[in-house]
Parts: sequence; C-alpha cells; structure tokens
Amino acid sequence: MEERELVKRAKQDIQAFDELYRIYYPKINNFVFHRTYDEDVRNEIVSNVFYKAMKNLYRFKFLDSHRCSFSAWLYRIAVSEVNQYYRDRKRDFKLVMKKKNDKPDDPTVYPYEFKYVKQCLSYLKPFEQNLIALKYFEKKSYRELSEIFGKKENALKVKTHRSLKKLKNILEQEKDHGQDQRYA
Amino acid sequence: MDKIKDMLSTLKIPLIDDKYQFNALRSRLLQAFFSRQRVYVLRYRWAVSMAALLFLILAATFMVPNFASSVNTLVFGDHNKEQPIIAENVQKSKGILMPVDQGEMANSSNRLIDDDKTYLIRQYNSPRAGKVMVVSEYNKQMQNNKIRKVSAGCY
Repeated sequence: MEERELVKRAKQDIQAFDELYRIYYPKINNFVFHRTYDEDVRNEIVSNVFYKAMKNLYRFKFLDSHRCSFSAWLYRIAVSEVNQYYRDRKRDFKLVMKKKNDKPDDPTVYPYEFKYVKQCLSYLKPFEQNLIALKYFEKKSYRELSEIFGKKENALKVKTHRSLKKLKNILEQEKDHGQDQRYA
Repeated sequence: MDKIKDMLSTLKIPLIDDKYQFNALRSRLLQAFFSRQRVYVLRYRWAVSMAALLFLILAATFMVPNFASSVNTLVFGDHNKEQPIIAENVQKSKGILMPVDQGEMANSSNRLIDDDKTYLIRQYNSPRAGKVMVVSEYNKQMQNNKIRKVSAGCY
C-alpha cells in the first residue's frame, strides 16, 4: 500500500498505524541510538516519538508531499525529542561525557571506531550533531534533510561542510592528545 | 575534507534490533490508542445527548409556549402570584401605588396625609384583555371629553 494511503488510514485505524510503526521503528530507533548513550534514554525518546506521532497524526497532511514526507515528519519529531532531552539534562550530560572521557578509546587506530567518532561528535552543536548523524549514520540525502530540518538543500550542504571541518579538527586534536598521553 | 567524508561513509555503524522493546512499545501504543478512542467515543456520546436535549427543549418552547414558564416555576417556584398586577404600571407612571396595609403606608397610617391630587379610576370591559382599570388625573375642566391616562392595569 502506498505510504500516503497508509498514513491517511492510520489516522483512524490502529492496524494502519501499526504498519507504519513496523516500518519506521527500526529507523527511528537506530537514529536515537546513534545520538544517545543510554539504553533507557533511547527507549524513552523512541516511545515519546511514537506517542507524539500517534497523538498528532491527525494534524499531518500531505499538502505538499515534496516538502515533508511522513518519514521526514517522524524524524523531525525524533530530532526535536533528542534536542529536548539534551536541553533538559544539559548538566547531567556534561558529567556523563566527562566520565566517558576519562578512558577514551584509542584515537590513533584508523579507521576510527564508531564509538570514538560519536564521542567526538558530542563536542559539536546539537544541530550539527543531528545533521551529521542523519547524513552519514542514517544515510539521508540532502533532499530528505531539507524536509527534516525545513531548510534549503544548499544551506544544509554548507552547514554540513562546516560541521565536518569542525569534526575533523576535533578528531585531530583528540588524536594528538592521545599520542601525547601514550608517549608521556 | 574528502578524507573525513570517506571515513564517515565507510564507518562501520552499529545497528540495533531490539525486539523486546519493539513489542513492549507496540503493546503500549495499542493500549493508548484504544484508551484515547474510548475517551473520544464518550465525548461524542455526551455531545450528541446534550445536543438532543437542547433540541427537545427548543422544540418544546415552540410547541408549548408555557413550557419555559412551567419549567421556571418548577425550578424556582412561583413568585409571580405574590407580586401585585399593577406594579409594572406603577413604575411606568412613577407614582407610588400600594395596598394601605403594606409597606410605608401601614406605618404611616396614623399620620395625616395631605390631599394632593384627585384621581379617577375607570373600569372598561375589553374582549381581549378582560376588565381594564384606567387611572387618570381628575380635572374639573375636561377638554373634548379626553382624559389623561396615568396608569392602566387589567385583571
């Protein structure tokens, strides 16, 4: 069944919503997994995303399906929930990061491990983190990203370029820091 | 820059497949959906029953004109009988007209009341309104057999 028809039916029919849930749960779950560190937090955020989607599905309209697909709408909720989580627990998060940074993974080993990249990614701004996570971890195209963030593709390309530049600097700094620690 | 792009593109990204959480959340969502639906059904029924009740009241008001008055009497009691019929006309004429055994008149009955003006009370028989009492000022010189009406009431 076409997604549009499925979403239309899901507004009243739980079976149709269940179908959407089956399709999108793994995607949203993985995105949140790539953006968070704790399993409980991930479960909480994913739950919130689907609860909100179910609650507000009647508001979702395919007025302009090129601008916002259902998938993008769902990712938008997920991004908003992740941001909200980090805003609410800003202080706790810093403490967690400090604890994690006490024993960093060996950054000199190439190719880098995902865990290490994720750790370095946390030094970027939340928007930049979401952008890189969606672009490189979830393999979203710029068109999909423009739907999710509600920005123009070109603007997102520039933002991605800058974010990558920042990430590169952070990776290099961490690498040097790791080498220094090894030789000390 | 290309190096980091390649690195991120070739990065081995772990994927998670949490069946337990998937099923747990699924059942919670189902429960939430049905509880929400039950609330909507209750709200719908409440709204429909209220609309039906209001419609009945509206229809009864048109079909039985005394219905509203009867309901009012039933709910708040019958106060109309205690009120004198001429009260409205007294207010209109800005005069003070009350039974002599009530209000200030009862207290001031011993006092000497000065004669101020003379009024005439005429009774007419009207086929519509029944008996109509017309209060008019008394003038010695009646012009063209016309009288100035001050107040009127019917019973």
